[in-house]
Amino acid sequence: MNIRKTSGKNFFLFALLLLLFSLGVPAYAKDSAAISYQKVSQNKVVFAVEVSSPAPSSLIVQHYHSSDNNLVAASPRAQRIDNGRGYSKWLLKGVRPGVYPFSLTFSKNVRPGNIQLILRYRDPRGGRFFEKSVRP
Amino acid sequence: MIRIDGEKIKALREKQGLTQLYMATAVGVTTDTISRWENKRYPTIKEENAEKLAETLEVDVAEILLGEEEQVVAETPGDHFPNLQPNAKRPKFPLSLIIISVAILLSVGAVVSRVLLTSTADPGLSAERIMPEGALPNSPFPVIIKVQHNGEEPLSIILKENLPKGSIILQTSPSSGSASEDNEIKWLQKIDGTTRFSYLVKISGDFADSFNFDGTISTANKDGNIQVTGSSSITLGPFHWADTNGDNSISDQEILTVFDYYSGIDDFTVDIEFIEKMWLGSEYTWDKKTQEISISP
Repeated sequence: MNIRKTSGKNFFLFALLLLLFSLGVPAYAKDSAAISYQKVSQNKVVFAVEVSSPAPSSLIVQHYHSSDNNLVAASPRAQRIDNGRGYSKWLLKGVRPGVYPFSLTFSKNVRPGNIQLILRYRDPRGGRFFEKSVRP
Repeated sequence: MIRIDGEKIKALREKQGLTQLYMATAVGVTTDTISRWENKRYPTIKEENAEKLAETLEVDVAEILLGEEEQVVAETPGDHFPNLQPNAKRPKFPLSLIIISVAILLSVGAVVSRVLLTSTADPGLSAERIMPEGALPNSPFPVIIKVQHNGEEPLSIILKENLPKGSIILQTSPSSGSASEDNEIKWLQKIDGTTRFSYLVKISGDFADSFNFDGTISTANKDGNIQVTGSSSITLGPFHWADTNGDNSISDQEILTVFDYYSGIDDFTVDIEFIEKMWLGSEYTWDKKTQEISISP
């Protein structure tokens, strides 16, 4: 009996919550940008940045790799390649919604456990700084 | 800022027989900081510190970073993020009490948002100044004034900006703005929605000297002036205006902020390209004698 009463009360409060959300609070906004590995095979790494609307005005992508393996080619061209410290960096300006593919070629085969991606941007809706990291 | 795996750092350190004191000396921090990193009380650290840590532990930086996908939100570069421990015991509260509390909070939120939505629908005029908190002496920095007009019809305004004594106005945008010798800029413009007015200025003085900016908007429809809100003062110092934390380097967050606020303004691109070069370099130094910035690779 008590359980039924409590459940009914909770259901009523939950319905009230939903109503309040629909009245005054905007729907939860989707992330403006996401990053993911598409393929890691031998000495090639392919990843992509997906940008939604509203898009951040600029994005920074940083890729970490093992310091005994050199990044020899990157498309698009990286703004900074530091093989000694094992990272490369891109600054994407004038970003628009869409998918931005990246392709990297290393001097040796890449071990998935030795690489990592970091995406940094400011949320166009409020200016908050976002940092997302991902491994294959 | 990047997320580190504290447990792995501790394991690697112990495996190599290194003390926290040795690590602290090698990285250039205190033993307390090393302890906090290992115990995940500071789960995010500066990139350069992560690199020094990895170097000391003789591993790649990637090895001491957290593995799984993470999402981190920070208000400022110095923020540390809460250490979430899913297994930690938490105080228990009755479910109904939690729901009632959330309902009350949401009710207040709903009322506030309604009020805000109503007020934005009301025709109004506001102006906000965006400018850096600090700048180098005699070195250009940008100032932006965002004017918001919510009315249905375009509105003619006069935006008057009073600059501190000793200011030298280098550029104004829109170029129709007139800059007088007594450090006053005036724009007469018809606006609709949000309009950006901006200028480049430099001020000579000594370190720690502060200067105030003051601006007003007047229209034919209103009695009196509307004050420009937002940032209103700048302090001279040994750091570039884009280097907000004064560490002689431009971080990722600082360059993103520069692009967000100051890109897309005519004539300002040259300075932004230079800031991009500073971001790509490891650090910059300002020579007081020559008043020039040199960037280390």
